[in-house]
Amino acid sequence: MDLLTNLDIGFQAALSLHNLTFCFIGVLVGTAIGMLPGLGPLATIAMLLPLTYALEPVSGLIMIAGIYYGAQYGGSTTAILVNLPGESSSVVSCLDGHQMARKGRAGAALAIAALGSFFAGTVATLLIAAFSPVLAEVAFLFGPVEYFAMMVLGLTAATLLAHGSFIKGVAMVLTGLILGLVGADVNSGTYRFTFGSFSLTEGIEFVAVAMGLFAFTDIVANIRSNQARDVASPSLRNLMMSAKEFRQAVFPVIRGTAIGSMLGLLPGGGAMISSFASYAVEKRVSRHPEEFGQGAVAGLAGPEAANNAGAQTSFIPMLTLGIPSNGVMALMIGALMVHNIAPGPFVMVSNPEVFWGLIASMWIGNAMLVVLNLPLIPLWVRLIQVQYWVLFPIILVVCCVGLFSINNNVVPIYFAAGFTVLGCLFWRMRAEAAPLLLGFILGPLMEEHFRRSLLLSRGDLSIFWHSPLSVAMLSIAAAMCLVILLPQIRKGRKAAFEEEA
Amino acid sequence: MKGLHRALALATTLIAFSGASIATAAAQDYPTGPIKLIIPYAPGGGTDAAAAVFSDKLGQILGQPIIKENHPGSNAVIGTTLLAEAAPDGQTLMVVTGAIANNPYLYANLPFDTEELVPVSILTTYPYVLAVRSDLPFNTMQELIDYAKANPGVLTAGTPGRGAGAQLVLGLLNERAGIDIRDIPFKGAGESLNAVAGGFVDVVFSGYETVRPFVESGKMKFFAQSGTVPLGEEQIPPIADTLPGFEYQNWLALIAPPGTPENITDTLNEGLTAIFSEQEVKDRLAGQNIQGIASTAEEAKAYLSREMSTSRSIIGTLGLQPE
Repeated sequence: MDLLTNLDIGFQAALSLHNLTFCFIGVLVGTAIGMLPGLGPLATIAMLLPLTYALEPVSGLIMIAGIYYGAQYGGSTTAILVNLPGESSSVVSCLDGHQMARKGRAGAALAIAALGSFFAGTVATLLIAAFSPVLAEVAFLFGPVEYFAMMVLGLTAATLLAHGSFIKGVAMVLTGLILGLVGADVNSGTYRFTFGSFSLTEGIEFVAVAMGLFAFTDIVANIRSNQARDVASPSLRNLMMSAKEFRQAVFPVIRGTAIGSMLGLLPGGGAMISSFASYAVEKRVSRHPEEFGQGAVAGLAGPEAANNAGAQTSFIPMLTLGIPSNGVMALMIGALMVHNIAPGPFVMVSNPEVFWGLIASMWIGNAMLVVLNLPLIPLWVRLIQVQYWVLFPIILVVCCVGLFSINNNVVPIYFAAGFTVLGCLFWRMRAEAAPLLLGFILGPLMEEHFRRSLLLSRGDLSIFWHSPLSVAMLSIAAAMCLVILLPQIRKGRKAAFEEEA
Repeated sequence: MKGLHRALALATTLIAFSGASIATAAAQDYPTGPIKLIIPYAPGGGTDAAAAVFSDKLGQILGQPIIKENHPGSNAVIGTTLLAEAAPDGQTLMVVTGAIANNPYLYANLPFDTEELVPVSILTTYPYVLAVRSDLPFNTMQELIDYAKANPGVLTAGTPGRGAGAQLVLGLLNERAGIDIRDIPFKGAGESLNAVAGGFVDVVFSGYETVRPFVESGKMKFFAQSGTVPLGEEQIPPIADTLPGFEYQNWLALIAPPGTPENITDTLNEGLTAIFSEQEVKDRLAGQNIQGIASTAEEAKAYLSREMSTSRSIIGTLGLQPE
């Protein structure tokens, strides 16, 4: 068995005391920066990169990888406890995870997130080990046309994802689309809605939008509601998840792992899209869709597994083809090149200890994250019992430092303030902020790929039904619309008839 | 130690950003404190890596640490604006790509005058490699030109977006060869490379190191580049062999704020000359097929104005208007 000998080489490299230490440092740093909003893995790794020049190539990579998936992990902790998405991929964890925490199930929520992520990480690592070369080709199946179709599917799912009023969901997605238009248009370079300001040419900063709409709005809303905290205080008994919760989490975790593993292969934000996709799927297949947004276990377990699986499989294009699927992967390629290892299909042959050592370390790192985090749950849970007058100023200060550090610039802080006002308005109107965020991210991508497809076909729309993948995804989107809209139309008619009668 | 430097850099950036103008002393004491090096791109990019080659060593020679600050955005305009507003005491410098020569013709209201910036030295130059989808039926530059002439408007090229060097070199090729390879803009070089590898676009201009893995995996082939001499282990021939006089280089330069006195640029250039003559530095750059250059301030100034006039004429033929 080739796979076994390869894994043997890998574990020998990864289990040396030296490499175990760097793996631990990586996941520890990753968890910490994942919890701090703003300071993302990309900036942290960029800062620590020179440190890896002095290390063995495999130790450096193991540490960087640990920071990357550790951050995905830490991001969910703050999302669940204080409704603060530390990472863009943990926005979805806020929806049901934070509701669970409010109901006194914070410990269970953290445990589900940790174990779900571990399961997803294990499966994704096995996938990488067994099928890397084959899976890498998936990225090349997606051209502008296919990406456009995927975005349409994503946005359709997002609209259905909103609970409460359907019209409000649509309105929020559209608002997100408009906000996403700000900045330079990729095709022509024309500036849109920048009002002559250079700070707007790169668009509105995502982290500022997310912090304003989620964390800061939550703070204002809490202060407004009479200082009385509607968080049930968690007792020790509540820290463990119940058998019922475990059963509710099993299938969402498996489905989430599958979704995340596939989407993670695609360049450009696979992990984040996968958590949204998983949420939409769970809501569709659930027998109790009305529980979503009120603390549904499936709404937390699925997306958590999906984003961790996605984070792992995004290594595949980098390891097998030397192609970075996101900024962190580009930095890893840089780290390899410093050691004169040329990333590409030959790394597997020329430096097997690097390739397989990294893969083995991912599994070890994931196990470390569980060991590190499960015992800490009682400590984290105490965090939500901290008095407002202590907790809120700390969150605000940490967030502002994070916002400043994005570009070494104060502008994102002003934007976060503006979006807090907007967020409070939405909160009063009972409109969900999550669809807005998805519209904000996917809208510009959808437009970009749509126009690029038409550039390629010279304006011929038939390009969209020449690709089987695109046809399949667009059909699913259409079917989803029908499923949701038909009952509403029927209901509307019935209501109209009743009024007439 | 390096790790400590980074930590210090972050701490300084976070804490002391607003009130960071330390130096007011006379120029002969230069440098009077830590030097701020603006990188007008996101952390972790190619410019960061190239700056790392010389910044620590230059700091040691000058006896003051050089602290990198990333101010990304708008094709380096945001970082350049900060540099243009800094005091001309050599305490604030910037490393920038050839984009700085293109920007005056891409942006209508630049908040600074590019001609007034003081180039200290050109640091590196490297050509663009022309990579082609491997299943296309041509294997030399001449065959490509013949194919493009026989099938006008059929070939497509992925570029990293408006005003990028790779877009300009494509425009130059179209003009000189009298062909029409259609420009499909992407967000950054990585996306355009993936699109060629996936077979959605036909050709791409990019750095040697970024193209090489795709060639090794058989997704692309290369047979031409925009330099003047054969490149890399493969000895890729220059486009100039087919189209005499064809040249387009990407470059990095060290730039100082407007009005920086000559004694400061001289001090910096002395240091750079010493660094670039070290064998270790030469090897590190050669490994990436990059040529290290330490030029005098006058040479750098002449280089910049020559590049600006080239950019103006290419951007003119592309039909791009300043926005």
